[in-house]
Amino acid sequence: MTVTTKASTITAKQIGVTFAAEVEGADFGDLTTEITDRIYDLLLEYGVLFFRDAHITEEQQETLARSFGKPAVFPISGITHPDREIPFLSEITDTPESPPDADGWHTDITWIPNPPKIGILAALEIPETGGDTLWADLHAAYDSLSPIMQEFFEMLTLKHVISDVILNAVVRLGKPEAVTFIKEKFPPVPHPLIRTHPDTNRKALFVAGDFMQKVEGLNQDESDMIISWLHEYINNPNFHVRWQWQEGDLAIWDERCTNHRALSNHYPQYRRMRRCTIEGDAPFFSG
Amino acid sequence: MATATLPPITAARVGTTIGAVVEGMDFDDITPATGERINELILEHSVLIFEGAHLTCEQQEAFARSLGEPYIYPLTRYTDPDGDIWTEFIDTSDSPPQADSWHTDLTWVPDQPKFGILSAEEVPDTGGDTMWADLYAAYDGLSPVMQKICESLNLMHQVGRNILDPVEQNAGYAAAAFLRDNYPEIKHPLVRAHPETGRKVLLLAGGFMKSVEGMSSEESEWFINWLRDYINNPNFHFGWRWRKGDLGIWDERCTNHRGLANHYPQYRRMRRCTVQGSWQFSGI
Repeated sequence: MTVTTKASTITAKQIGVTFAAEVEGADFGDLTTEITDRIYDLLLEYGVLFFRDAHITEEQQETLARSFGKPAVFPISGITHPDREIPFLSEITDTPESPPDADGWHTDITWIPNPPKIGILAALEIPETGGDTLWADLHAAYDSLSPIMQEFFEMLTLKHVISDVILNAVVRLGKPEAVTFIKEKFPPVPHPLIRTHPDTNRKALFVAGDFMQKVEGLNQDESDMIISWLHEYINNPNFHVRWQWQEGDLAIWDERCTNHRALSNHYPQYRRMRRCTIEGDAPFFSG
Repeated sequence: MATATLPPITAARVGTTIGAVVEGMDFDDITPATGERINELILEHSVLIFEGAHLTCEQQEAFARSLGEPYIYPLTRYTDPDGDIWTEFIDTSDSPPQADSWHTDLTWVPDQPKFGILSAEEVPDTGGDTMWADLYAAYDGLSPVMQKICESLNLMHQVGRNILDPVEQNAGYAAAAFLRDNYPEIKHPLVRAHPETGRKVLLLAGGFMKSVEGMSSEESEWFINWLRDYINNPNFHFGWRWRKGDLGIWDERCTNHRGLANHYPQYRRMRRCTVQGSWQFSGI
């Protein structure tokens, strides 16, 4: 075929050892299905995609999000940000008064039964230095376990629960009375520790930082030992890719097979990002 | 009932899950029936203490023989081809105590002894207790999920630096090399059924636990560290403060023990022999 389409001009160059690619040639001003399908295919292949100088508008981010599924409203944004115009688009603004609070490994909102499947983050204003975001490859994390350990972990289910970081933010927003309500509305939910990716069938070590509350069925000390090991394990830089933001950059990542953390070392500098996520299905394991 | 014919030896539990003090034992009149009764009590309590027994070597050996054949230690086989059954532990200011970490005697040999018998010859005023840990309770204390995981694992055991270093120091390099060369690592399931009681045991062995079969070294180190820490739970323990003349006997197949070192630099002298036994554990 020699027919040139816009999608065929989109190229990806892997930048991490096991995952993540920088993508060129995507036109966000004219997002055809062909283009968004191509982006989704690349996402399945690389797990994380970066677009330099994308400078996407709110409308473009919404269109992109809708091409992947249903944009997800942050479960408690009705309490925290009832006045948000587009409820599924949230601005993350770091200031001296509102310090960055995502500097721990996590994947987004695993404390609901159907956590989001994709995250989309646009860099609106970035500090001179610092504030990089890191992603960890959960397929590589799984693949690097010994077969015995893989079997061991395949037997485990973890309870995930909303973290104190989020609840503290609710208090900081002046809604301390909502904390009890939120805790009742979002009880811990079980997810398999080894998760099968629904589209690629690959297995991932489904860790989620402070959202991991307890290993189901284990005694507290047994659970503590496993969860603290998981925290430690995902710190291995061999699993990571690090992105140094420039204004206008865009990142899209697959929440089902990555963790990320936003470094806080730019504090107290200003940093403003626009994020949305896409609704996902319940994580499952199929041997 | 066979038990009706056994000597009237009784045991009173002093620990929570293991450990009993025995009354009514006559060490001058040890018969096969005595051995049978003691075996029964060991299976029930895992550790037995005979207060103020003051056994001679001959009595201790006769007692051991009522329970099986005395076991000859690997190092003894090297230094003394005739095979002395005795090990003396003499702690002095120049020779500090060296058994202060959890272990069971010799999981790194294919013919592990089943009972340890220790006579307190000279004891310090304070300190130097022996502690035993209950490996049945350790298994029972795991959650069902963790029990299942542990049942799927095999551990490699090998003579460790904790043995080789003092051997090298006291008996020379060749003796340490003899142990290292003749006793390659040996595989044991982490969970086994005791051959006589059938109860499941979490087979821990301190520094003899080298690796988890099939795991990467990081994974294995993590898991074994956890096992080593797990057995530190005092809920599993029974301790005995020795007085001169006390005798202790324990089942190596379902306990760990350690000789506390906190009497150092005081003098302490203990005399040990062990009894051969089949470790042919039934499957679980």
